[in-house]
Amino acid sequence: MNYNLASPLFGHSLTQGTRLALSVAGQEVSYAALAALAQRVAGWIGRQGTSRAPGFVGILASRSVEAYAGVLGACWSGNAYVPLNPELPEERLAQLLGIIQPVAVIVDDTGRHALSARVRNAVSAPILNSLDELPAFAPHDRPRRVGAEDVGYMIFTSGSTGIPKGVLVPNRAVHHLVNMLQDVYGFGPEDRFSKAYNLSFDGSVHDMFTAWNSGGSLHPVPASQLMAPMKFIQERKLTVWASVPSTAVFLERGKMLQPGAFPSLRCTIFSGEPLPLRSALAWQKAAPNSVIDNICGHTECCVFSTLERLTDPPNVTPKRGLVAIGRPLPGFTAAVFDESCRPLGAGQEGELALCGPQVALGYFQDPDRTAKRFPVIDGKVWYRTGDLVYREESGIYHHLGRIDDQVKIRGHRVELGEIEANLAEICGSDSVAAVAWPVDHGSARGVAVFHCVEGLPAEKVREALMRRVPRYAVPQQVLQLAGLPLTANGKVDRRLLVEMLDSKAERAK
Amino acid sequence: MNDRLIVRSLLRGLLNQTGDHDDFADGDSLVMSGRLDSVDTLDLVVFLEEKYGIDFAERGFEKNDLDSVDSIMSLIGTTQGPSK
Repeated sequence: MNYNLASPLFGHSLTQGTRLALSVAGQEVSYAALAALAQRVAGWIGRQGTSRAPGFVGILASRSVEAYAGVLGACWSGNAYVPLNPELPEERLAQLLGIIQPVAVIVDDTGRHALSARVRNAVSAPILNSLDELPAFAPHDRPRRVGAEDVGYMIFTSGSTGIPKGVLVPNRAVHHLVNMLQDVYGFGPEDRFSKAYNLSFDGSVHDMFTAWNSGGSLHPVPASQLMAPMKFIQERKLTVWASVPSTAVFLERGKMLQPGAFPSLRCTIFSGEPLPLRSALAWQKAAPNSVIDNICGHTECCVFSTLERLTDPPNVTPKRGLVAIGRPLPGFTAAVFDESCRPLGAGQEGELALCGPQVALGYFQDPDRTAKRFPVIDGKVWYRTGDLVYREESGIYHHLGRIDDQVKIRGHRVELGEIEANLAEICGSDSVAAVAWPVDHGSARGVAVFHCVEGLPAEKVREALMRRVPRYAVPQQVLQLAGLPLTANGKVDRRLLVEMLDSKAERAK
Repeated sequence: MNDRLIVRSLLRGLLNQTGDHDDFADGDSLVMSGRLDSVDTLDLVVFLEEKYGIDFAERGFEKNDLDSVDSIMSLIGTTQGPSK
């Protein structure tokens, strides 16, 4: 069997070639046309004379035909794709390109702007600047045969040492994800899928490959409409909406969710951050024909792992006002682990651990961290998620936060240690700390950092961090203290720092 | 206070909350540039709904509509006629 991620799209191009596969930036692309583009991109990659196949193809593009043809072409050619967000600061982009050593890079208009001299210097591979450079369509070329365990894509997440971690996801994980979701939802060619997630978020893996597995069409939401996509959902008559819950929270609080506004939706998937019940209920009224699913997921387990469907009455995590994270999706075995990876019983709090065909291969060039986070127990590979959870007797899981220093800033996964590692270099001192602040309904809105270097202007610190970390991880508050508060065991007392910020904000009101 | 000053002062307050004390011109991008996030924009939406009766649920909006003082003024203008 060929596990190539482009195979389902190729199959549909033969049986329903004229059907819409992609509608982006004013262009409507049929299955036949998208498969032809993917084949031509693969042909171009093949001509670059690389001896390192399979290798990584960098996709420095977003919400464009080039971006999706690039992803599919990379897969078609038997390589793995690596999304690179064009909005990253140039130092970070150069760092990532240095790590992955791509065999080729595909850019669109936005990506071209990100290719500064410094970033170009980090790339020795050929760059596809325009689809006009592609070779002619070779109708007999098929997606190259790849195996279940070959890498399909690599997505970078924040790393606590200051260096981003590349999560290696094999083809079998995506294969399982899309077929499992097909069974859960019964998607078909009539379905019209949103694509709200950026390519560098693994939610996009679901959007693209589930849509093209079902024969439906993919509708990337323009960046300008992401915040308030009401018109987009209505005009495109979307049937499937998948996004972070912030979209529902924003529309609900802005009183923009009118009852019955989205009659076309039949399936809504919220994931990536906690789902407040109030927003979920408001969305349900706006989309009366849709199931509302809260899905918990991890990049290391190929997008989605547990599911809770909004019911009446709903399953809510006590005292948090959040929808529960539900039960493991088909194929997954879940457990609550103690610190020594021993399973805990119902009602006991511990770390969510997952096992099954969607578990990733590990972290790129990081065997130590891989061994730590992906322990092998009784011959099976588990992933320790770092999520603090408990399981009800009924089998429903509830999310209580993190057991480590990973936070979600506006839906983006950030290791506070990564900000601190960069801050320590900027300050020339290890007496630094970062906290997520302020936190609103379980989601952090920003970062605040502390250092002890007298006379170091806050703006200098912000500017230096701006060049090193993604914009959402740049602190809004930079504070200098005489010394950092410590806990009884000598660690920085982040809770006290948060209390300090809270009371300062309270006084300013 | 005229509408433009009211809008400027609201945006100034929102930027200050995020620790951004830099100046901004009437045409400067605040939302698309990331200086204001979705929660700040929500404050802006609620303010415009309450003060100027703009029904965002009905008309919808794009980030560009609220991106700068100028674009917000034009939004108020199209909803209410010329601002005073």
